[in-house]
Amino acid sequence: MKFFTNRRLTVLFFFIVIMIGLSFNSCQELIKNKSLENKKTEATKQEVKTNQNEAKLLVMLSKDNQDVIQLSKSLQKIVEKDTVFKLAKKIEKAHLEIAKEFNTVATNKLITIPNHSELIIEEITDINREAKLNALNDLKSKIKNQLYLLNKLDETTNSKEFKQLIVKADTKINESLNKTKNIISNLKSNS
Amino acid sequence: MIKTLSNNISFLRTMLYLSAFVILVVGALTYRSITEVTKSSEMVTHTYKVNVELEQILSNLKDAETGQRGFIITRDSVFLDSYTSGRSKINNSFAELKVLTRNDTLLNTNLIALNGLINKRLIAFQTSYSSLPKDDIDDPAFISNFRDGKYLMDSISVKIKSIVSLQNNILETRKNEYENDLMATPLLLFSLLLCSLVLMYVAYNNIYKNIKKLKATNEALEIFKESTNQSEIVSKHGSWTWNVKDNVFTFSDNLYRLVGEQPQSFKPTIENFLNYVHPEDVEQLSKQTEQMKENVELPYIYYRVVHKNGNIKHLKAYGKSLINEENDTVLLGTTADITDEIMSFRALEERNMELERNNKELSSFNYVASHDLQEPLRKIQTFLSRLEDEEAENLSSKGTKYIDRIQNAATRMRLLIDDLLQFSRSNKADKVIEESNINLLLEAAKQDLAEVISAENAEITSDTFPTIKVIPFQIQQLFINLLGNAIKYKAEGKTPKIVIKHKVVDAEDEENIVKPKKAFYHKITFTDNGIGFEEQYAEQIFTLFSRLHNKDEYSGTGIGLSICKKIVENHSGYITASGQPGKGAVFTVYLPID
Repeated sequence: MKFFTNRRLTVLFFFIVIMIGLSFNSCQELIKNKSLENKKTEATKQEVKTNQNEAKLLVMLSKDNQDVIQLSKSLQKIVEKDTVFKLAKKIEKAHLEIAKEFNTVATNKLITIPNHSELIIEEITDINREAKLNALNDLKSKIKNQLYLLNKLDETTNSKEFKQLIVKADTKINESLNKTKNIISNLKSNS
Repeated sequence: MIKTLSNNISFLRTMLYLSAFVILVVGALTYRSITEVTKSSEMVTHTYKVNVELEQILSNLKDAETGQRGFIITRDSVFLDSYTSGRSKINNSFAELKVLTRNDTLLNTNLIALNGLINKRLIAFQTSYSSLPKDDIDDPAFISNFRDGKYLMDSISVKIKSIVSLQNNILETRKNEYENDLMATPLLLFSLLLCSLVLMYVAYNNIYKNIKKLKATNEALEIFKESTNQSEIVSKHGSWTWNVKDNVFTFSDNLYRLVGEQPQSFKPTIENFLNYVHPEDVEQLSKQTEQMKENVELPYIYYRVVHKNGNIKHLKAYGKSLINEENDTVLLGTTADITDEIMSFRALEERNMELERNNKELSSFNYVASHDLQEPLRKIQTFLSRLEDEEAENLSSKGTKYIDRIQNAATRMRLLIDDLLQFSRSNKADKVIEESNINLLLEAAKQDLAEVISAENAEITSDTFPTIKVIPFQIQQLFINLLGNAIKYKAEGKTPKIVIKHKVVDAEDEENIVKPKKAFYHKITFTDNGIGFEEQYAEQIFTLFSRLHNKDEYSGTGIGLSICKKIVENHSGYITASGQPGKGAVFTVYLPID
């Protein structure tokens, strides 16, 4: 304690301690800042990547949705039963709503999505059960693919808008799938 | 004043703190400036990135358009690659733009509008080759679609250009900011560097000067230390210091030698030192040391030390306190070996005592001898007188002659005894110097010589004397002897004339005064018109029993002037004589003025 009775030495001692502390702190801050900087860059890249993936998935979803609309339209042309027709109509309507929602989200999220199907559906001249089943199976696989893509989108995105869209679309798409499965089972049972 | 200030430690400290503050401030400003430069650079880069992505979108759309035209013309699906991949490329660019424009609402709105236009254009692309008649480029619907596509493309270009233009305006502002920051940063850095360099140089200069001074001081100190050591050895001194607070002593090398030891041969403590002190003086010295601790002062003290070889030395010590820079009290002391002085003093004392004894014996002898001799002499003279008176007719002429001669001899002896007695009385011991009226003393002397003055008709003139500090009876005797001589040695046929003069003189102006003890003297001159003497005898005449004439010419014992010299010497004065044969003599007496 004799050390501390000398005022000059005491002041010098505390000055050195403070300077060492400040230096450590500055280094710490510099390292933290650099680390933060890196994290920020990483986060930005990740965000861009996420945006790109979201866009990609939404484009694919939209494309499949347009295909489902197209398929359900062509299905309406080949079914005979009113109930199946109505079901197909409902599917079409549901997916048109889904398309609308996709458009809204795409507009807000600066994503361009296809608004037409590029499916080339050949005119079915011979409307037999097999052709219908094939068409229905195509529809079913498209709807299933949509569900798969929705699931992927759910895993990819953290956006509240996308999440809400996924929830809405999932319900509707599941309904569509059920309807499609009903139609298929109806068709199979009626044969 | 600047030099004085710059030597002031507080000023230097203040300058240091001020300089550190200035450097820190400039450093902080520089850091801030660099941060601003980095930020503005990032903003510029950000703007460039936005522009790049917008151009990329336009480029992708143009590629898709080109591809579309290629496909329409050639129907080769390879031309659709750019269309097929165009949407995902555009979406990727928009994904980048979304992140870049996160905080820019206006830009975001513009991008949404742009996206809408791009959507329409892509629909138009799709329509142009999927839903229109094939191989019929003249079809109005086809042409209308193409035209719509062109309009859409133009709108997209205009939109992109407007966004880019907005961005360029922002870029301009940001570039200006960046340039301003860029300009400031090197200036700040340079000023920081300059400040540091200047401070470093000033500090270096100061340190260099101080080191040089310190070196010179150290060298001088070394020389001084060495010369102090040597002077201590030569003058038989030792020095010591005592830090009162810490109770720490330091001894100089010679202090160790004073106690008969080699330098630094034992730890400098008071206890170790007391081991060398004479047993009879230990107690007293210990007490004085304790007092020194209390009073922080040491007046002169005397003690003895005993060397290992048995030699006893007398030492004298003195200490004085000093407050150092740390407010601690330090005692600085000197110890001197006064053994030689003590021995000399003792020898002197002994010699003095011996001399005193001798003087006393001599005085006693003089007095007793004179006194005792006078008695038988008186008897001789008495009985000679009786013989002359009562038996004169019974004495032969020879007898009478012999009696005369005996009487003369007895008279001479008496005179000699009287003079010897006077001489012994003229010792200064126990005689008091007092303020005396010299005029009265002169008169008294004249009274004593009244008979002879009257007999010779001597004329004595004198100045008026001031009061002088003298031994009265001795000065009176002086006057008696000088006046008596002047009358005795009168010139044949002349009336003795004696002139006594007085004045105050400066010792430096008087050749007769050699090594004056005082600055001013009373000068009393006795000038007579007697027989005088030759100058060569001027000093001899003051020697005891020295005479220039034999007893047949002039009576006397040769003691008178010796008595005058002794009297004047008793008064720390001087007496000189000068004469001219046949003309007279001048006796000058100098008595000092205090």
